Amino acid sequence: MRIFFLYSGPFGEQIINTISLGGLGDQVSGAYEMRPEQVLVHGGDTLGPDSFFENPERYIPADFPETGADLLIVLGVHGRLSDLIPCIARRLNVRSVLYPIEDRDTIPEARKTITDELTEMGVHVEFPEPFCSLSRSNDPLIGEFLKFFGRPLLRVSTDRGSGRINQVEVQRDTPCGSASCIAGKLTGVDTHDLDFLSRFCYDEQHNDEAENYCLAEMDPRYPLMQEAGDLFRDALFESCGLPSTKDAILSVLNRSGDIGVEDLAMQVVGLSSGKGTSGCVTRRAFDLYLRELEEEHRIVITNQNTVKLA
Amino acid sequence: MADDPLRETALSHLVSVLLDFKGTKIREYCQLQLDSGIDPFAVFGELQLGLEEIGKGYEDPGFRRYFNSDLIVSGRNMKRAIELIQPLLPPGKEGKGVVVIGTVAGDVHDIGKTIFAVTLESDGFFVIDTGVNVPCAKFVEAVRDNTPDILAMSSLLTTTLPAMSEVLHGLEVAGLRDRVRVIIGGHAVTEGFARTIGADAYGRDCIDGLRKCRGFMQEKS
Repeated sequence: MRIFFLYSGPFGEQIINTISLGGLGDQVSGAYEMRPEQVLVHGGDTLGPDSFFENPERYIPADFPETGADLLIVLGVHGRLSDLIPCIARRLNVRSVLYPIEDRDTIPEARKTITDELTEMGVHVEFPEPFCSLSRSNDPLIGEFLKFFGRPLLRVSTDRGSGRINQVEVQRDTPCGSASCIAGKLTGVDTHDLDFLSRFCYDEQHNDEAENYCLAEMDPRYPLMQEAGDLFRDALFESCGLPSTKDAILSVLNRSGDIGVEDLAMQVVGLSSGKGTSGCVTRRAFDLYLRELEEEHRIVITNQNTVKLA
Repeated sequence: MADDPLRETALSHLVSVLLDFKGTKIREYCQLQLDSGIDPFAVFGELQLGLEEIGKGYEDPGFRRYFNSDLIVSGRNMKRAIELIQPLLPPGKEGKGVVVIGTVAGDVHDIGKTIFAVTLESDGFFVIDTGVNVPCAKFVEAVRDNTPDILAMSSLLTTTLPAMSEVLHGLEVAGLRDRVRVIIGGHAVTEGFARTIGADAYGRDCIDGLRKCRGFMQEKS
């Protein structure tokens, strides 16, 4: 598999660095930074980005490398430049595109059009949001990528007596590399105090003193960073055999029977361990877990938006 | 700025230095400037111009050029620069005043707050930094325990603005409000908001905030 990165800014650089050093370095065929100002003032032309629709090929920078790839990963490129992606995919002759969203401004303005164009070209595309929510794919190339990076996957050994963490093996790192950084600090941490362990995960995940840390948007109206924190925390809890958010959901359903999705969310999101289990901090992660539990046939969500155990 | 190509190139270089996620460029830049005999405060000032440029690109309503990740990385690099530059800044006059500073609950951004703290310290204020995501009770406790002249609060996220109002209310309830002057600032804050919640001043930027803090101390003496 040959991977090409189209990126912008430090968000992209951090991920390229992590991926290159984390096992896929020999598969990188190239990287190109594309900032909006460089495209919008193309050859002295000051035409607006709306013009991309008519002739996107014209706006691909002249120094764009002549190379090929199987998988194109788009990182932090401005949403208004996204119309160029099908053109670039054609130039590179890729078979798959991974287009993670970690900031509202990088959401492709014409996501459906891009998807349709790429599909017509026979190119598979996925938009994980955030990148570390990517956990499975029907696409073989993205599946290959997932052996190394995506939703964090950990194997943890703890001391039975003290409950302290002995060792953490990161089986799948987050693309930003924060999972490995947090894992490196977990040895010796007590797993008995769930609130402390949760706080530790959330604080370390965006700790800018670390070598790698989450750079996703953190605005409470679009809490991708917080969702990424939930995903790491639950990966850790599951690997430690501690009650995760999914356990919290099932526990409420066991107790309450059928319950509306909104009521369930109110009981799980932000739930502290005072009641023996703890929940995620974001509604986004809750919704993701709910979908997964349904796919795992552990719960049923009715047309009336009620949840019950399967 | 656009009329001066040399200046524009320098600014563009500063921005690239601030956006280097590995943090090596910022150290090299600061060391080079300091080794060339440039005044540490001038280096600090130049970097603030670079930060402002990124901030402008982030706030541009027509076409946002910089994202949240750019703010985080440039903020981290500014902290690296502060670590290098701060020990070299000339000490201000001792005893100008005591300031308790922090970013309000729900907000983990610290660069604006940290830059303001350094600016105050270099002017001779004694600064007690309570950190980021500071709950109301912690601000009130810090004011009660340290009897500062000024409380400075920062907020980048609009959604965390009510936390500032909560702190002012908390000071009232604790009977501490008339003992401390309150200044607020940060991306989310406006002068009108400061008036609405009953803060004593709004700091548009570090220099404006410093001027207002000096003013508080002059009034006091």
